[in-house]
Amino acid sequence: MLRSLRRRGLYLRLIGLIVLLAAMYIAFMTNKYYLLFITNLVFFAAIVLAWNIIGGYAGQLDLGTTGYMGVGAIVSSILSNNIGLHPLISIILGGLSSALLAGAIGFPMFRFGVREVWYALSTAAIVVILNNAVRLLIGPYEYYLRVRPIKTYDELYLATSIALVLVFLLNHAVNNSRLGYYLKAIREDELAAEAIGVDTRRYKLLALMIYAFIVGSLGYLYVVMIGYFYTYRFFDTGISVSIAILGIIGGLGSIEGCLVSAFLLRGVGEYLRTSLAHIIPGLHLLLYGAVLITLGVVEPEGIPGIARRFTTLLKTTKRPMGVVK
Amino acid sequence: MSTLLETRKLTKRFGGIIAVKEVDFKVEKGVIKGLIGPNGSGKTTLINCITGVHRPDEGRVFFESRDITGLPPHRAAKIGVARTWQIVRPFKKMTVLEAVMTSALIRVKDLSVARSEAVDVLKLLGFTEELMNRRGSDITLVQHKLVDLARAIVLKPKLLFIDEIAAGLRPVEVEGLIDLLRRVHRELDITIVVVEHLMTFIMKLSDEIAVMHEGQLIAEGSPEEVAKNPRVVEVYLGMRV
Repeated sequence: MLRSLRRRGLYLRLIGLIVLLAAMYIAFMTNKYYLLFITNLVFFAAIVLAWNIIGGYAGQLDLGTTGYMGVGAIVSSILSNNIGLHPLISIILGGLSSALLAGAIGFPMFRFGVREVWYALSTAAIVVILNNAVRLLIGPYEYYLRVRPIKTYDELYLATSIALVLVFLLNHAVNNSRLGYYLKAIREDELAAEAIGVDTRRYKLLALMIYAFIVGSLGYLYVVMIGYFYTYRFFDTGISVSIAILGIIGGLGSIEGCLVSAFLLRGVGEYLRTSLAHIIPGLHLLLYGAVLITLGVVEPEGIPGIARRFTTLLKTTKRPMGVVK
Repeated sequence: MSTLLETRKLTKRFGGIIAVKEVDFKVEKGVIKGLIGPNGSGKTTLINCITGVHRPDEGRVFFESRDITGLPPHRAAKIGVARTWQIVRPFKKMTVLEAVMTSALIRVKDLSVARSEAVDVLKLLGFTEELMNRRGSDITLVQHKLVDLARAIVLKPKLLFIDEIAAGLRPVEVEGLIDLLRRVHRELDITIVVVEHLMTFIMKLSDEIAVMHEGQLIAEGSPEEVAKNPRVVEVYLGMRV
């Protein structure tokens, strides 16, 4: 019974997400700028949910998102653009090459016990290394997509939304599986997880490769969104850090929290940029930073923590006066 | 009775300090064995070497006559060597039930089976349903220690190391714990090694006791024998004048 109840909960959440995506489209479809903007929101929500698997469940502060995304993007773009493979096949191959790269990087890191801040530093460094390696390999040019399977913003929004729904379902699948429980135990206490029989190295590596596969596959959508598949700013540590921030504020392991934080905070950030940046340049970043710091101080557990406070508040106000317990 | 665990000349050094020195430690199947000794005598290091947390520098560890020296902790856990921690290592953001379920999922593939097994073990340890659904951050120290214990026994180990479970607990709680550990030992048929420096606790609970001092085993025997042993008295109370 518990199981069917949980499944019904999942259906409700899935329907809620689809309704939200549809409502956003209806509200903004007449304006091309807004349409591209919500596409961007949905795209980054998907990336944050992918990060949730390594950062939220497994608790590894990964700052290499744009590295894995960039490699997947470049591989899939070259395959479809220059070799002429079907875009879907290129996307999967791009994701696989990211996952392989993550495996090659993650195996020695986890083998030699690189963790916590050192893991974060190493993954941030990987983005920089990849940036220079790729520039050496394909030159300091911008490559534009010739083959465009997605032609309008509406199609792009649809494709991005489908990607978000898929990543959302995958997160739920991980959350309700043995893998999810193992990863959460690793996040809480690695040595204790090891002592109850969790092969921590293996499952961390698995989580890293799943995450790299997803962001690698999503790379192609990013290319379609911005129009070219390599620039000197492609491997951007700043974006990687902001993904991690959204995941942390989303509550490390909370699927709904990650969605809310990605939509809300990126939305707020963009609103501040468009409404304030032309008055005093940099003011929007100042305010955005202030919002992040306030959230961190008031509720270190992020959005799920705020939600929990809110529900307890509702419960306590419902009780009749004078009744204790 | 057959030997479940045996270490041969087990040695572990940290830099220049010898924490465990050529220890031959034996545990017979079906007993509750006490391991005592003053602070820093090497009890926890010995356990860490057996359960794979540390790799011993010299010597070997045999479990059911199989050489398990240097096996990583997760492999040791799977072949039946479980442990609890001196300082609790709680899963704070998971509920009590989820934490114990994670452990059950090592043996069982199915989530609902794992859940019911975790509930059974938690009930045996006296957890109410309300308590099972609390998060690790919202329970007391005693409860943390019991969750730690539950995580270990839901693995259905053959051998269980309990590292200073009574430390920091009130006398009433300690009494309850003795009964509880006896029940776990009897009902689940687990051989237990209890590490403690609380003498009353270990005297009441153990069938036999081993005493460690400065990294070496200095005495072994029934609680009465050990209590009368002059070396043990000397270590615990100081030299006779």
